[in-house]
Amino acid sequence: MPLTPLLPRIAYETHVSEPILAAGRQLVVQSRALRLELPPFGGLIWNRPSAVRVRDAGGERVLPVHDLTRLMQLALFGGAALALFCLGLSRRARR
Amino acid sequence: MSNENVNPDAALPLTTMQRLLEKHLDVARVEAVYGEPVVSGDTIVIPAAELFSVVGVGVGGGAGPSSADGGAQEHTGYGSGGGGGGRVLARPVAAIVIRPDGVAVQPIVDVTKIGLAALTAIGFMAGMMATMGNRRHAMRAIQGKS
Repeated sequence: MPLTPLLPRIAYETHVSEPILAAGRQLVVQSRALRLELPPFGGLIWNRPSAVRVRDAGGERVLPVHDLTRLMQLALFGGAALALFCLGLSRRARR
Repeated sequence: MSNENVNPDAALPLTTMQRLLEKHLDVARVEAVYGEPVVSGDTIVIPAAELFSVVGVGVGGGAGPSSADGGAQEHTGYGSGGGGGGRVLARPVAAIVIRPDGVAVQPIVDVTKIGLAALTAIGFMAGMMATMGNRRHAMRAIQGKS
């Protein structure tokens, strides 16, 4: 097997699948991947679904894939940080 | 050091590690995120998951003379080795539901993760409020003494 050059690399890529034919429609699923390669030491990949393209008689539309669990986690942490910030400001104003 | 003393298998750990890395890179494919369609009656479901993969490897080697036989004859040896580890985490994110009347993306909510996040946020807020309260008491105590 030929060895490829060992260079560090970071990339954010969008991948699309081959068209899937189902129920008279053509679907193409998309994913987005963040790749961090540090050869020969290793690397990490974060790959997540991003959207579904649906093509039917009515035309083409894109259905985004939202990660509700992650959004709610971020909302909770963001809300807690914001509440603390506001509380700190109000205490400082009272002094 | 002359090349004739180098073990021809010296590059083997590196090659193995690179193969491991290339397998790890397969996680970036779109087919890794979307599962095989599941057909139930006139409904087709395609599961979608988030993947996180991390891998770390290390290789090393060295060569040197050996005089185990009291220096009567000089030998040159080579040794190499490597190791690695990794982890792949997968979490369901959504299901694509295809019905004769339309296509919908149904999100999958992990209630346990959200509950843990809520508990963490509450704990963080309580801890920070306690720290802020203690600091205020300390400031009052310092001002009272002076």
